[in-house]
Amino acid sequence: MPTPPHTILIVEDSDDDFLFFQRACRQLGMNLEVVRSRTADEARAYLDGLGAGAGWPVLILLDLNLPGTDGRTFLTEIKDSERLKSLPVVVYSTSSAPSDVQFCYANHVNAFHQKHLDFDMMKAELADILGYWTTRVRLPRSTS
Amino acid sequence: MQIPHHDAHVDLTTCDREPIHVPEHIQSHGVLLAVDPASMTVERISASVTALLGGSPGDWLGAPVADRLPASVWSAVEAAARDLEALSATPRHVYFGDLGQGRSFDVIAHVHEGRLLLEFDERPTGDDTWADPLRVTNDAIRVLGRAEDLPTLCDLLTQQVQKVLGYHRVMIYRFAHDWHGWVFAEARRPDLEPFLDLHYPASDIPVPARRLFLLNRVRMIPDVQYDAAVMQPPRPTGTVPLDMSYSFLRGVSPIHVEYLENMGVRATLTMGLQHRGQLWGMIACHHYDETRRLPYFMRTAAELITVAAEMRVAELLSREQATSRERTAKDLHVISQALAGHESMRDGMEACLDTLQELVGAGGFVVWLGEVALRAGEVPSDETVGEVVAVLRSRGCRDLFHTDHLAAHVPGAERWSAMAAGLLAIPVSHADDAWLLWFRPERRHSVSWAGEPSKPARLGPNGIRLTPRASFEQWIEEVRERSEPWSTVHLEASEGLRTALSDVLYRERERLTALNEQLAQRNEELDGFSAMASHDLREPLRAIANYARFLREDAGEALSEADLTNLDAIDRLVRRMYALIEGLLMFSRLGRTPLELEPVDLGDLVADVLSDLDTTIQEEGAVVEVTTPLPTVTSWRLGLEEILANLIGNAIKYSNGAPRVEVGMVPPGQRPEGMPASDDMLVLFVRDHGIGIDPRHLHTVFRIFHRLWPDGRYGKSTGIGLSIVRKIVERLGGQVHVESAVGEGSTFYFSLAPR
Repeated sequence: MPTPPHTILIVEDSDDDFLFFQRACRQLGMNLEVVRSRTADEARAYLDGLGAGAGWPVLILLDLNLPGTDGRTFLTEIKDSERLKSLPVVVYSTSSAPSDVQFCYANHVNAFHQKHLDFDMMKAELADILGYWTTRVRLPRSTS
Repeated sequence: MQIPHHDAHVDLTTCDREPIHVPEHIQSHGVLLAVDPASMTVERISASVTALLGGSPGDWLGAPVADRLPASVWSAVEAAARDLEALSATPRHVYFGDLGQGRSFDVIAHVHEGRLLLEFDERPTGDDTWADPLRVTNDAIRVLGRAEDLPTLCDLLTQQVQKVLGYHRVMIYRFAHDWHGWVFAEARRPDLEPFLDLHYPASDIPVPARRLFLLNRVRMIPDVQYDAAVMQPPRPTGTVPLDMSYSFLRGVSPIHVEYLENMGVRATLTMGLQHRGQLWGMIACHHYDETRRLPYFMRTAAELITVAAEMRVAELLSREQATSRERTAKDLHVISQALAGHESMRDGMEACLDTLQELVGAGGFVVWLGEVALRAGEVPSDETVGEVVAVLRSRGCRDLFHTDHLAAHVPGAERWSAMAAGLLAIPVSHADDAWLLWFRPERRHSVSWAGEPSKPARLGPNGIRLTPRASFEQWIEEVRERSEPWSTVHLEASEGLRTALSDVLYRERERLTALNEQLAQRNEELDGFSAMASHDLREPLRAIANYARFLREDAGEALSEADLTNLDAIDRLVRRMYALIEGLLMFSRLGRTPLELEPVDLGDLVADVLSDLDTTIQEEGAVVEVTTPLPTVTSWRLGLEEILANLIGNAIKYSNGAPRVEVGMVPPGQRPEGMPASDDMLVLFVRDHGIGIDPRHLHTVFRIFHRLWPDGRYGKSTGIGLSIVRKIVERLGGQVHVESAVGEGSTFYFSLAPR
């Protein structure tokens, strides 16, 4: 009996990057319900609009450099929110700056990953991330 | 009769205490009467009375003056004695005329210590060779009026005095602040040895003599070989001796007589020149081989000339000081202009080095900026200057320091006395260890003497003692290792300069601070810019790479060989650009990342780096050897790792055949030029035996994005590794350096503070 697909919220402004993500997921045969927000505000509105039970993502995949509200600000807002802070947030960014890494962990990010140049490596990385968060870990009950 | 003291043992050191104002005898060319002004009776009289006025001393002693003198003289004396106050310490001419036996006398009276002193000065009859004193005085004063400076005035003065009074030698003897003196001007009979510029110790004209010249301006000794006319009756023990301070007939100190005789001088006339209540100098007249006696009116003429000269001396001295101040102000102006016209204080001073030296009349000048930065004139070795600065520093010298005897302050400085006996120093900035130092030579090297030093000194009856030459030698001995003292004007000038320099320094520091701030801001902007640029450049690159790949994946069947080659090219170029951007990002990050200092065992660190490079080492068959023990330092681990990884990586990369690489530390004695020699710093090296670097390119290897070889020849390069190395080393306070020979290999050095 097929399990219902996991919901992933991806905050990504670049259509190209989102396309690569989708292509990688397709090639990896991941059974995912992907919700994409182009901006942090859009993502926040989506999360705020969720009621009890349905549609809660198991993971937020967050790009750091976003137009408007920055990914860093978004992270702090989630982790400051009593309602949202137990949602796992994984940063997925081209940035590898030690200061960014330091900042994100200091603000309770669940993991920090760098986007690879090489598509194969990117695919492998995404397989790890998504596989881990959708199958390996035990998550709290959906936020209500 | 002999001078009573003549045989006594004479000790020169007693001169300052010798009671020369109470000799108890007078020179025998006149008569001295000490009179009780109340009774107007004779209390004491010189033995010369018998020969000149007649009657034995016994006839005079106790007798009323009125009984002993002709009525005309008595009435003149009595008239003068009515106002004793006016005569107090002020000799006045009261009478001239025949006192019988056809002999004419000038009578001079003054009151001192309660006694009326009458002096009888015979005017030789038929002596009409003297010119009209008023006319000669008038002429002389007119001539003196022409002088525009002190040396000229004094030259004219000696000439005029010689012309009017006829002495063989006339000198202006000038006193210095320490009361030593020197012959400042001289007119002499041509055959006489010159004394001009001879210096004499202060003891030559001792305190009592100087005091008497202030009280009694004119002093004449008509015949050094005079017979002393002793005062009668002899002074009973315990009574006050007769004070002859104001007497022109006063007997001469035996030491002075000996001195004059040693010079062959037979007669003298000396006049004190006063300035602001002090003895400034003397007009000293010497006559040789024959006696010379000026009548009273000529002595008065001489005194008038002296007074006129004093006025002009005062005027020219203040003019001299004003000129000196003007010159100083002008020099300071020149210096200020030079300083204002240059960016750095050092360059400014270099542009006016001579003026700086002349500002305080120094023989040599040094600008010290942590070391001897500039020098002018005669100065000691850099090492000695360093010792001098060290002493000043250790004294905590905050203000101007000056001495005319450097050897007393700096041990061993006497070796340099010839050029550096005196020092004037000002601290410009303690923070920058900046000092200005002026040196003056030892006086013996700065005084000139018109006489011939090689000519044997003339011997007096007591040997060379008490001769001008001996005096000069004695003075030279007294000022051994000493320079001419620094004058007030010069000290003021150096203070003025110090103020000017602190302004310059302040401006310099302000400008530097502003520049630094600007630079820091620019760097920040630049780092921010490259970080941002790198980041934003990476995203489209990734996209290009991915789309190229998708093209290959999705249309693989439809693509020709050429299409596939082109796709490979896109892929290759994207990767290359990605690597460049990574490097740039890394480079800019190095400037911003805070340094985290921790203990780093360099040996372990090299081992870590080698294990990271293991794959490459295996592939290339490289041998990397650590040739010296490596210490533990407190430093930035990541930075050091990056340095070593780059240098060792390069060493392996740029080799033909199996690379051999050595890593180690260089002890202070064996470091190459360009590396710090001090053991405060460590110097590490990475040496290869590879292809080496063309000397033409050595200076560009650390430049960012600069590559020496095309891709493929020695692997790939971004041209950023060595600039990263340099940036890290410089952030850690060190320097980089490379030595290389084509075909033999390269050695990269970098220095590192162990803490």
